[in-house]
Amino acid sequence: MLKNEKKLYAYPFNGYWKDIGTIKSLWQANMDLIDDNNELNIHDATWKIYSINPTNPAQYIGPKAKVTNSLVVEGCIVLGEVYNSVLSQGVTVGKNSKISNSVIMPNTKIADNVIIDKAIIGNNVLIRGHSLIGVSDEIALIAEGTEIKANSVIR
Amino acid sequence: MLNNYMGILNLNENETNIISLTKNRPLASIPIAARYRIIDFALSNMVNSGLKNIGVFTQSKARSLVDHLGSGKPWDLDRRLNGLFVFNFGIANTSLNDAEMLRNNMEYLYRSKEQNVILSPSYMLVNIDYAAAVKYHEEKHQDITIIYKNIKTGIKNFMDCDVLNIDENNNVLSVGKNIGVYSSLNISMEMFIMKKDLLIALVNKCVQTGCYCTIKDAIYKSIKDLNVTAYEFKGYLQCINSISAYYKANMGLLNLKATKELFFKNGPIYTKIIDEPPTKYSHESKVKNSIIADGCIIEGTIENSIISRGVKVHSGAEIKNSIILQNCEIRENSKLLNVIMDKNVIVDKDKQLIGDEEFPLVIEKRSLF
Repeated sequence: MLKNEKKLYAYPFNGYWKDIGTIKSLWQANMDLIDDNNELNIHDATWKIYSINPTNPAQYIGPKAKVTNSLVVEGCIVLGEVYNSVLSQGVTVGKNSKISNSVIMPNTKIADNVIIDKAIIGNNVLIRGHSLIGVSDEIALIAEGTEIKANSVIR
Repeated sequence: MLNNYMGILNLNENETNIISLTKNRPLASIPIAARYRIIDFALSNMVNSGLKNIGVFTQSKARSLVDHLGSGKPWDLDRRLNGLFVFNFGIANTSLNDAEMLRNNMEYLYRSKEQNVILSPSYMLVNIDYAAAVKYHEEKHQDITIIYKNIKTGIKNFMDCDVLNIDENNNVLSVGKNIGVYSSLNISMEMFIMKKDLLIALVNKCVQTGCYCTIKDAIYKSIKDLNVTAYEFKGYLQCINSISAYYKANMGLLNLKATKELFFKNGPIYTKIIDEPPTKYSHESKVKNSIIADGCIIEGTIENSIISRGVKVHSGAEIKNSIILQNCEIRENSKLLNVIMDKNVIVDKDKQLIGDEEFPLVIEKRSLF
């Protein structure tokens, strides 16, 4: 455009903006959404963010579950502990499992006694019992559709 | 097989025992299970069974129902051929019975090319595929098939429901009412399968003779002249015909086995799409054994409860054994126990609202404490 001598102007935008082109920034953007003081306010009823709405009943939080500082949506069944994490549609978390500082994509099933910390888990992943994922400084990444065998350790 | 069947949702349910939730809406429109309305189950069942022509006969105060149904898009009934038809929502008085409503809209029945009809109420909470019942109906060659469920807890459950007296060949001999005297009962699910011509004849008989209050009444009182057979349904069932039944049915959904069957068994339950952000749980939130819809902000304690869309539970608030409908706000340190709270209610700080398990406290829409 400039070569063709058209005028090009820059508009300074002052709001929240994040380029989520890396694993780290994708993880951080999700974590930002949990923050009450996040500039990008998804809870603003006058400026809804529209998206696909799969057919799922409302989320169920079990009798021994503990969900704190997290975002959870329809179709989730949480029987374990979820801290500082984002659970997408249809995610299930088994008994005694502990999910922290993680982003779980849709329809992933996490069995009992699983520990996940600082990870991004893709969609439609199956994580069998007694597994451990993440728990390190780097963000662990599990690709979509993966099946993690029981007692696995992935860092 | 169900191509030659049309569906009729007959919303003629008795609201006497559930009136605190039906002052401004029909029973079919009562929100349930955190994100559904009662009619979603009956409508989804028909659609999942393959019915493509469904007529909904409402009474008055049907604004929220008509808004919820729209053109039927969530149920894939937003079609050029057939689809969803809603009748009688504009009339102010409620003195018309279902036979009169059908009579007023007879053209719909005549113009429908299907020759058979499945009638259903909305207040039977169930996930059923009509194919099996229709197969039974066609094999038996009787005039009418009524779907029923046999229960063993009649003394406490399904109060005031119609009860079928059946002989060993599944012929229906008579129809009574559950008054809590017997435990083993055949509860009529008020779902009738019959030829469209027979329905038309029954409607005409009701209106012409004035002898019967409703179509159900006409069928039950003419049992001897009609060949009526019964088909047994064996799955999960609740009848939402009173506040107590509504409360128990919701609480009954705090059970993964029940919800798996009710929401998925023969097909998913569809409902109107409403976009909401995810539910946010704060650092202090304590939630156990509860169903929570999207769009909520939870900072307090919730146990054994059902929380609908957009509800804010502030820090220190405690909600137990309760059903909270859309957009309510429970402010700091308030305590709710055994409460059914209708939409848009704001509970100020430090309040206590306590009901009983058998007699939950109902807070009607939009009060202010």
